[in-house]
Amino acid sequence: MPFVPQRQVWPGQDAILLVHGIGDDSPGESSASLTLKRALGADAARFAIYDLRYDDLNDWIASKTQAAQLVSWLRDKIRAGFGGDDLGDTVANLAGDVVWPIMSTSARSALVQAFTSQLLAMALDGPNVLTQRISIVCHSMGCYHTYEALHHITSNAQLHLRPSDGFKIQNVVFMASPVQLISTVSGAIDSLVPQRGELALSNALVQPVQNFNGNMRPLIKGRCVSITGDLDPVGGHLLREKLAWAYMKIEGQEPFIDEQHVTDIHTKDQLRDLLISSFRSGSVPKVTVQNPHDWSGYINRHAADLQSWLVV
Amino acid sequence: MKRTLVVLLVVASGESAAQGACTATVREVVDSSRVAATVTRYAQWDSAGARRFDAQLDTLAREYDGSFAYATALPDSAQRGFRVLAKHQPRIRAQRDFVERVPGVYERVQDVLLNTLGDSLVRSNRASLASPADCVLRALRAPALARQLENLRRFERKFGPTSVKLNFVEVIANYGLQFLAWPKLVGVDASGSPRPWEAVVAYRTTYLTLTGVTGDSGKASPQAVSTAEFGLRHYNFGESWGTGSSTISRMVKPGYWAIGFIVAPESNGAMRYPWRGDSRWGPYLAWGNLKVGWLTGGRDKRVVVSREVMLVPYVF
Repeated sequence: MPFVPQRQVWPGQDAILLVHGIGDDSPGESSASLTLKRALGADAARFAIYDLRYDDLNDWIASKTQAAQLVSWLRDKIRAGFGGDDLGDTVANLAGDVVWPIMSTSARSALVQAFTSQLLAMALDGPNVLTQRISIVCHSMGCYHTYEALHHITSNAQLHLRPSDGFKIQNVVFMASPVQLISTVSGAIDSLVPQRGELALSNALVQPVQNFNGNMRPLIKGRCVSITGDLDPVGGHLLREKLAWAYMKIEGQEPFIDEQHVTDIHTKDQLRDLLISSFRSGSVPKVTVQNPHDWSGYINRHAADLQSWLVV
Repeated sequence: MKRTLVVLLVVASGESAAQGACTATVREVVDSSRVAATVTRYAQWDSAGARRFDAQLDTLAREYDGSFAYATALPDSAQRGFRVLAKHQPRIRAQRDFVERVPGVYERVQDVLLNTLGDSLVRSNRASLASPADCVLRALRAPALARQLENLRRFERKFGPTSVKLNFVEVIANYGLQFLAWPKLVGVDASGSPRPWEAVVAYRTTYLTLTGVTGDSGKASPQAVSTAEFGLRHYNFGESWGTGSSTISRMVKPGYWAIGFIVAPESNGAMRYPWRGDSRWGPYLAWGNLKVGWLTGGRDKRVVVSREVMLVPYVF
């Protein structure tokens, strides 16, 4: 199936683009979209919410190069190394899918064009250029594509999406971003990455800005937020330790580092209550293991923040 | 002679249905920009900027003093904006400085209107003054979107499910070609379209040829020929190519063709080493899945035919 950008009529002046991570291509409205709507409450009705998924593009290249099995093998190894849980899946998928945009200039370009096509479609769907407000909430590998695509549009006159064209992004919220991680790894294998200099992340991480006749025009009008968790390795943490080489630090970003927990039992009181109820009912105590990389988890933890950032 | 230029911007491709035909004249952009500068009292908070803006609006009004319909240059004109207008209109082309000055002036006017004055216009509920400029932008963005989707369609042709799968050596060869400054065969061009070529480096054991049957000169039987294949495959990006519903139509207009040369061992047979003995060699041409080779070099000259098929994943 060819890539088709999502189109819809905006209920008002606001739209949100949800840029998914890898392996998040279930049909219909995404769980992230549903979670975000819950977070926005009644205000959700004011937003046109778009989902950007791009797994098909990765799958084409994987299938053509018959590397799917190789990538699966790599994923299995990583998954086993992480204990085979949800988190292992996440890291393994990330490792598999980052290969294409780094090693194939064609895949890199296709992914950026899929992203910019969606932005063009949104700009065309929206109201008057002065009143439309587009925010982006991205997760995991989606943060990498967001970072690259936003830098691309500031220098590409053909798209007519530069700040001098009146196009601005209201807010960008990066969640569990692997941008720095990918930057570091691709830098370490510099000579193996074709045209690495064309990657925005090959330079110091900065917010996208257009140089318009010597005047710098920032693309992001409002907030540039980075949220990660202290147990999320994709976001640059390992066992609560921040890894400087993997943690994304864009100049001017508002950083949030969530305190995360391996299970849903966070306090001694919760543990006591759980044990008491277990004794009373005679059942096995139910402890849920949490995936620190889960997008909905990030959205839920920052529901109030998202409300205040996105709702004007 | 004073002429009136009507710049008609028509939203190209499928946008007309969704947005309605979007028309605007540059004169409308100029007029609304003058009003915008007035209502936001631009001169009061940046007199130098306001003077420059006024001069730019004068330039635009003067330069667009003609009767060229912008729409006549569409759909191509909208892709590259006003520069193409000059390219397609001889009378504008005659104005030497038009191409250099006007697009830049328009971009500056647009930038002041949408950025410098934009927030004030929104606060004073006069965002509608940007409507003509918005209309120009929509007319430029719609074909930009169409162009991107066309590029993505081409990516699908080259990398999607109907493309030829690469073996391990080809993956490495095509990866390596990305590093070449010249010739640029793979990767993408300046417009973002994938380049149509890819390297072919393969061992094939599926070529067939006809040989005489021992003891019966009137009969011939097919024999397999093992070959090493080196060439370039070209993907046909035309919309009508590679999309036929029948085998015949896909054979007539396939999604790809390839050209190169093959090397075969001195004797026929499957699973032979191509350089064994007195090797034969010659050109081959693939048209879609059908391949024809002509082994001209060596003692046993013959025509071989094959289909594009990979028997063992990763290998051949």
